[in-house]
Amino acid sequence: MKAFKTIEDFEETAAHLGRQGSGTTVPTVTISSGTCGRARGSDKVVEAFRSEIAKRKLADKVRLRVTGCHGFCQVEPTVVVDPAGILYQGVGVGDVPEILERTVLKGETIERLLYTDTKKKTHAREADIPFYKKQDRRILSQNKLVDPTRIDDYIAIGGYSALAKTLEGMSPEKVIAEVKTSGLRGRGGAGFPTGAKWEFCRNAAGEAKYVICNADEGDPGAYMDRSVLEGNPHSVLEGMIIGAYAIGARKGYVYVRMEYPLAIEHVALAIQSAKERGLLGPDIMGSGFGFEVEICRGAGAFVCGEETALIASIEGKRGMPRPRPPYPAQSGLWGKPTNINNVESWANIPLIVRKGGDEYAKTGTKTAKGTKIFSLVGKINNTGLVEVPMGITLREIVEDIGGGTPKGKKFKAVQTGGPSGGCIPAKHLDLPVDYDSLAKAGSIMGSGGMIVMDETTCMVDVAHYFLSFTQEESCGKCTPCRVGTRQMVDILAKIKRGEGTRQDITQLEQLAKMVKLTSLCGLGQTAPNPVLTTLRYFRDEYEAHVNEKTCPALVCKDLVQYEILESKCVGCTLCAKECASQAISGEAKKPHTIDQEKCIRCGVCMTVCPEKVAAVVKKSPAKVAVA
Amino acid sequence: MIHLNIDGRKISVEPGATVLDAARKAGVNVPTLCDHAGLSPFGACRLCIVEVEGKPGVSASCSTPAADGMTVLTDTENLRALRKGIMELLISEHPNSCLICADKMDCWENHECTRRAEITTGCKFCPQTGRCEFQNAVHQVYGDKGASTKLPSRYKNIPVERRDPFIDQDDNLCILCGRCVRACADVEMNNVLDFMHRGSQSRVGTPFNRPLTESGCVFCGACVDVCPTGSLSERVRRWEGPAESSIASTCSYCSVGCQLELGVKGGRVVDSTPRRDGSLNEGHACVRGRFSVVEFTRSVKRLKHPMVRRNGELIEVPWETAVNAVAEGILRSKPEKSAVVYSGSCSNEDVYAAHKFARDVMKTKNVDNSLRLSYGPLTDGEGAGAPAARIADLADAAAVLIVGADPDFSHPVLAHKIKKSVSQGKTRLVIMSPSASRLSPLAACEIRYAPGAEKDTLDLLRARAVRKKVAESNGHIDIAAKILRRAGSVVIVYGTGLMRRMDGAANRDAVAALAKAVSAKVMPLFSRANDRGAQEIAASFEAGGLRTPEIFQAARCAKEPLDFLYLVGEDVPPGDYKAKFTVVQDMFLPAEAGKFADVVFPVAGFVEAEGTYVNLEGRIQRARRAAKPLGTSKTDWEILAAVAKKIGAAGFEYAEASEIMTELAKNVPFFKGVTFKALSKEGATYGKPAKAGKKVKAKKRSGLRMEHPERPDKNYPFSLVAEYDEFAYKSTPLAAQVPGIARIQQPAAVVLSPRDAESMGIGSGTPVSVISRRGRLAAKAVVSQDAREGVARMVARGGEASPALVMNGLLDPASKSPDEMCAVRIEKL
Repeated sequence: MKAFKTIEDFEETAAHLGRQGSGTTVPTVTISSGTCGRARGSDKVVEAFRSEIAKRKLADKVRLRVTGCHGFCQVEPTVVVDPAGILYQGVGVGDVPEILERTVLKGETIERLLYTDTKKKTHAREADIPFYKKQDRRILSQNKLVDPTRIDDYIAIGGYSALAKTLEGMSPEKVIAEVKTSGLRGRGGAGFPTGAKWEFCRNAAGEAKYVICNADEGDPGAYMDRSVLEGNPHSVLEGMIIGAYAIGARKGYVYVRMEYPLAIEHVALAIQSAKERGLLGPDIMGSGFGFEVEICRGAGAFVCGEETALIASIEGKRGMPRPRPPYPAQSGLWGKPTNINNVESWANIPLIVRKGGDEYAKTGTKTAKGTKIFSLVGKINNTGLVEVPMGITLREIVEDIGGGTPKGKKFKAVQTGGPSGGCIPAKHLDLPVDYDSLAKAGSIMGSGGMIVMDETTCMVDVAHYFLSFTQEESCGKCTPCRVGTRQMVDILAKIKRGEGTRQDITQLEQLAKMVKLTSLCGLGQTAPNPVLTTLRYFRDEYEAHVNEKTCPALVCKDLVQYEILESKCVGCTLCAKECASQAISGEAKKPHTIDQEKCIRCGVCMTVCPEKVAAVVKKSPAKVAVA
Repeated sequence: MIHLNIDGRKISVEPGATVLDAARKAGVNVPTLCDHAGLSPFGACRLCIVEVEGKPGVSASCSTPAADGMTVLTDTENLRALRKGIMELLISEHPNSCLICADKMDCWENHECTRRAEITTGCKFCPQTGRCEFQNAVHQVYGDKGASTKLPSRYKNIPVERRDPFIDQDDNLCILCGRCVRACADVEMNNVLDFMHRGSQSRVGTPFNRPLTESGCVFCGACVDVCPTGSLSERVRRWEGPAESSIASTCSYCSVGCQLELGVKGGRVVDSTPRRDGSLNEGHACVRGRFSVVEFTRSVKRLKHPMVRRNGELIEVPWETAVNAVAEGILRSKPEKSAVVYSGSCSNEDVYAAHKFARDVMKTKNVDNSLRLSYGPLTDGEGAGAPAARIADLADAAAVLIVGADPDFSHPVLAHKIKKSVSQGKTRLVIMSPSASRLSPLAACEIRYAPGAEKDTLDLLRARAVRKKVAESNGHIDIAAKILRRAGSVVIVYGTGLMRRMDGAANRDAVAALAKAVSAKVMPLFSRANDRGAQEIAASFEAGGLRTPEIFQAARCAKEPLDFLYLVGEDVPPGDYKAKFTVVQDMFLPAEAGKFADVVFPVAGFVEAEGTYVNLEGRIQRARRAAKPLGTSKTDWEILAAVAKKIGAAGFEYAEASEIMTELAKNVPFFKGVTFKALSKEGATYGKPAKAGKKVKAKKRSGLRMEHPERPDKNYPFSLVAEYDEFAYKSTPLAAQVPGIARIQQPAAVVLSPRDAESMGIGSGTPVSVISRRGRLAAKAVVSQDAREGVARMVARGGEASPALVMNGLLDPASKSPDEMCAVRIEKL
């Protein structure tokens, strides 16, 4: 690869690559192969395509593009055949020859591989699928167009042109002004205005400065940063280089958690090829501006997503937050002014610079601009990564994009912001998604985790789950977070066991408020949110646990009972065979019974009972007693 | 200045102050736990929360900078409730009878069994009883009504860690304030302690939870001193409760002269902690000053009453009898066949009395000291030949060169000053030593040489440092030369590795020449607390008598042995002694001289006597009497005066030590104008050296040097370096009386490099025989990464004396100081 010596040099090559990309009519097979796709076998499909293309000597007639995740996890592995834009879902190795034969060569569609939505409607083209339709995929859409291991793919779609534009004629102040105009706010959770943050760092005294990309994505069920890093690492690098130029940093770090091996691989490769192309190094595109990036791997502590803990971790110390001020912008890594932004924030920068801050600010609400990526998971039909404009309502995300809750269960709540966020009930579904509205509802935007819950979710259990997580992940430094969360988890466990009292609920609420108010860092300050919001919107569930000793959602083990309906049981003996505690007895072909003394409430009997029989039911013991 | 309003009080503070600082200045008492003077703000306990007008929520005042125009409230209803909430959390994890029990002051039932309790369960069982800052904070937060808690107790039930010397760790009492971690890392720069685990499992520990002895801990005690609870506690101090009074004194274990605060209870010293304010040690201490004072002073093996040898046995006798016996012994002896050897651990008053006693009572010139054995080339009125550095110079020096010394081990508090200034980037460190040390990682450049090649290496370094045209070279010597040449201000710190050589005087001159070449100041790291004082006082008396090694030799001489040997706090090397009459006075019976001494006097320890000491930079400081002398023991000068009086010699009519100082100040120029009174007022004063020492002519680089007769050969392939025992007080190795020191110091161990050890099939702990051309010694092997191949190191135990002295008998011809090297072979036992 040739290094770009000048900006003209770059522009020439970029134009050439762009023409090559758009002018072609060669059919392209794009396979979504991020970590999630690979888990569903996409790498085998890729192999199959490769060998099949080689076997049929089609190398000139078809292009194969292995990309990062396209976001529609529910139907992985997906294959898109262009130029028609036909999307095949759940593709297996066996489908490969047929796709090549029929779709690529003959232009036919294979009905059985097409996506069918929740309304049983089949869609051939990606663009028609409801999951994609309401999204505004500015960042994620690039994933489909770019092989993350090939820098030229990114350049071909306009990548690094924002950097070229920056270095060609924008002063650092102009870049910051542009970012300020765009109204971009931090995508990592707190939503601090990015432009202002950069300005603080630029104005901070000192020669050496650092920029850091925070890719320590730790919220359970959230993976948008992984997807961007895996699928389009150059967009993040480009953002970082522009940021470094604006701030006056010469060195950057990508702090990425060790649990993301593919992301690490792709970022490392991206740094390598950017260096080879002269887009990183002592003299970027002959502009005189120099910047280096290094990868730093996190060892798996959730708290290292907190800025000051992350800095400590890079310095080789225990990942532990420290009081602010001084803010990292004044004294961060190695005591030097440091600017930390999240992966998604960095990835937005090239878009802002390319189109201008004004253009960017056209999307979104008054206080929140641009788009935001959410990972939509939980009790939802269309699991996946969704990128939506700020201000879209939760209902649109859950019902239109997500296709609602599966199996006709009733929607109960959506949890945003991971363990630091809160649960928003059905009555607030029309809430516009932006930083302030979510905060008003007691939750936070967070990094973009969105967990949907239906009537089979117990809200006490949810609070217990998230709090156990933060309790374990607390660094243990400050008293409220270390001991407070532990006491709260204990109270929640007590309530879940049916041993709670009304006093416990009051105590829990008091503790939650105290921990929120007095903790040192964001982790502790937000850890009580799941408790506080569930208490606010689902107090009745707590009270049911405490007063009636029942779990309305039938989740808390100590408060449920399994029972075999005599009228339905056909005596197939399946449940008796599978029961781990030998609590089920009965003769073949005759109704079985469960010995409640022996039963450990694992629920295996209910799982193995054939769907058409469905003789095992879960109940609240009190109600059984009444019956 | 920043002006702010705290609880309605107007206060001005310097920029950079925190809200907590401002509140304290305003006299507003905000409860804190993790905050500690000298440690950086941590913001962990959250007790110091305040409300700042215009700022949502609450802020931790310890980590909120004071800003102009700020209005702060520290004691609102909301804050009180939140503080109680936080306190309740802490109480829930801590044994809490000491915190919430209303009857705790009246509860006596359990008091008797405190010493048998395995774990801490309440106030009476806690090592911190009466001194607990956590208790105070609870009281502050809850007021007189007392604390109460609704939260269930979550006692951690972690076994108490008692595996290490001196320090116990009870995690059940720990409130994770992180003071110890910060003190260890930020203040002491040792990085031994840190937090382990996460969340509610968090605790303080060492890397991989290894014992402190294996984690690089130097037992400075800083962690114990800052611990607000009884979590980290000093084992011997555990049940003492608060001290009744405290007295400031000077540590007499080494020549740094750290200022200590001695806690006194019931007439006994119960603890010794470093003084923070205005002292040269600035709140630092080492294992000796911090942990060895109490155990050493209270050792059951101390001498309590005078003893006289009858029928081969030492038996206790009244003072009168012992003094008479000594007086008669002196009168029987010929002055030229009498001698006094005193220790550099003795105070100026004792040293002066010993010299005066030798001159006026024994009428002999044969009086010398232990300094001869460690820094012989610096005695006989010879200075170091170059301007002397003060400890404060270390912080300002652009470069520090350490030669033949390991100050981090021998003088940790001084080494800390070097470490601090190096890690702040103010000073570049160059180390010249045969082997690596704990300071090695901080060194900008290290020069390694074979023992015996000190002078050659120093001369070479000087030659390179003064060379006008410098060839680019990456050799260590050239890099070091460049650093020294360019530094501008250099301090050369050197130790026994240069002095205890048969060419020690030449080494001294080589240092002086190098110092002149790079305009450096020099700092010899004297060993004993008052070596420097002894050096000055000895120089003011008439010289010409036998020197210490010669006295020992004369005492061994079978043909014409000494008539009378007086050992004041000093022991003889092992051997067959023929002296006709030997007197010993010390805190403990010396290991060798104790075998044949005719009279033994018990001496008061340094916390039991008044006296002055001169530290290695010439600073004169007072040690004070904090406890009554044990038994009937007396100070060295009191005993000498009693004997003098018995003989009828005039000039020993002192009532107290201060009178000796007054006389001393008149006769020894160095002490001119010094009085106890003045010292009390000023804390300390610097002596006035008579001269900077003789002028040293920088010789042209000499290729020639004395051939060391103890070169290793085929049969004796190792150079054994017998290091002077820096951990000793008078004739007593600390390891002999303080078990923890024995664990840190590994007595009678020979340190070998991994490769040498492996080639002989030796591991750490293997018993070996060390054989020289003259004798053999049993020892245990210790394998160390720091050791140099072909070199075996051994600590020359005070009581056992220097093995090298026994083995090679080589003396520096100029200063008569012993050589510490000899060729040996090592055999597995």
